Amino acid sequence: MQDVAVQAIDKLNVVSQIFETTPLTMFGVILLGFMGGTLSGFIGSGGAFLMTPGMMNLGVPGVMAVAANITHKFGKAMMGSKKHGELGHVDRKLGIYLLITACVGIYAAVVVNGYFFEKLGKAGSGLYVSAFFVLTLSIIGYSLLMDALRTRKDPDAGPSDKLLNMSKKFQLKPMIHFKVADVKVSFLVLLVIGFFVGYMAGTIGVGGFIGVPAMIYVFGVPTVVAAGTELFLAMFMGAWGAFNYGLQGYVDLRLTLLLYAGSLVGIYFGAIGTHLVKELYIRLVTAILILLCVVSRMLAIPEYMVQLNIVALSDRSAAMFELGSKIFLFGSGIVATFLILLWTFQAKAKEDKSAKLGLSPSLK
Amino acid sequence: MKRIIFIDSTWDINSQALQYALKAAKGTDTEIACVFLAADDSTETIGKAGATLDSVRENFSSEGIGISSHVVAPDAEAFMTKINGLMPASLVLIGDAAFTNEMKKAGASVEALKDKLTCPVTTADSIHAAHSEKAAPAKKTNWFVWVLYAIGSALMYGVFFPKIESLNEKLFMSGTVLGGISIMAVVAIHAWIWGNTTTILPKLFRLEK
Repeated sequence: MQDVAVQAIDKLNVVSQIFETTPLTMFGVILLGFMGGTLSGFIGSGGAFLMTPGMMNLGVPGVMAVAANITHKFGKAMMGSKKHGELGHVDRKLGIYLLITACVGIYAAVVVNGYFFEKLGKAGSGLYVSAFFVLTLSIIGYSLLMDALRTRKDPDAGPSDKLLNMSKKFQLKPMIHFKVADVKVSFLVLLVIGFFVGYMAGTIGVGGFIGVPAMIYVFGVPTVVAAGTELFLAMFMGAWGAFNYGLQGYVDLRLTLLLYAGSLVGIYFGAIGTHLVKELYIRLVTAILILLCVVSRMLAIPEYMVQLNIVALSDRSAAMFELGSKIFLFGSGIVATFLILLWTFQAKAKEDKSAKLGLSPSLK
Repeated sequence: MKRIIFIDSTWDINSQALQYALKAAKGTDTEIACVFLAADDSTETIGKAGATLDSVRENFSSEGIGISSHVVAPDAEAFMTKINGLMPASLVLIGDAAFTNEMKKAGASVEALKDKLTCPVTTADSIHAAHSEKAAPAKKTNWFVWVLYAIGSALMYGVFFPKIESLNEKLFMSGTVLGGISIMAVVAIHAWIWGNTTTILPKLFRLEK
């Protein structure tokens, strides 16, 4: 382990080395941004679950991939929350309560993430981020898939109220009323959820997948307000995360700007798709894609373990795992993005066909 | 002759849904296949539904529109068989149709029709919503401003991007407060400029007007 610590990578030059060795990596980051942006626009939040591991697959250390992602999240959410704010979908009071605790969570995540990078190098950081990713996103992906399948059986089924009923039983005082969302939530529950949202955003760059479901299922916030408040939250969390990772010197703006090159193109197509494609498809795509990204990250873990001398693998086996991880991640991302674009253009063609009949219906 | 299938359970002559069907059929050599989804399968209800459709037919004929009328009991299989029998159609329009829970569970619902039929399927509510959205004036592209954003984007990627490597050591990755603030400032400015440049893309692909 000592040897590994000595091999700690010069964070200032690591991205330059990657770009110089394989210039195509730059295109890879743009492609990741486009796929992440399309998914982000389509799902309403997320995209990071693809972009963070994708950059790691391209050779970027885990901590720098997360730093680039959370910095990217700041600007993206800034553009998105403006629109939601105009529509009145943001509960600012709820957002501020969550934000305060989320900032503590992000700070803790930056410290822990930085610790792994400094002590165990690129492989240690990669292993920590990957293990956290697999653990949390497998639970989230599975829950989303079950929810989507339930909706498929009963189209009128709303969000499950099991957690909401459970949280109502434990009404720990003080309770706070949030006017826009029209819910009463225990302050202690807010603290716990906010911290975990922040810690997750700071560790893997994915916070919305905890924040939005928590607001809907635990607090009982209407879906549209939850999505708007999450974007408001994401903007400040992204800013705080960018600043903190910046203070540690982990933000290489080249990665962030390349992500933007693709994401701010894809996000518009994804967002238009939400008006045209059925919600069930949106939920199914999200759940399946998250689970495929989890599989991809699981396949990447042995390589880090080999580098840290935890396990021994032949070069051939290690290469197979690495290749499998890349194929799963890029393959599933490309297929999902292709499907979203295909459905969007197909639905638009159908809508135009109806418009010729003198109507202009939404065919969702 | 084209055909529009209109499904409803109330058949209010003045309903907006029916007006949409009329609008779509007028002057286009289109027949409206009126499907009355009855609340139950009693003889009395079916008989009343038939009579209602007769009066609708009289109103429609004065407008010069041909219609065929069909009364269906609230049974998923019978309903889907009837709709399939009326195919091909150029549009299925759904007004105030009372799909029972049993029908939905057995696979007869608005969603199921959208899934199974190849022609456009829509509801009067969604047309109304789309028309309401249309009422709001569409934001016109200010080409002068867009060109400014595009120039800004070109400068960001063409001039600023290659300089980041040298700026990293001095500023962005220096691990200082100034470095952190600079990162946030660059990201905010870039997201704004590039985000406003790419807004044109959905219009170019005709996904937006």
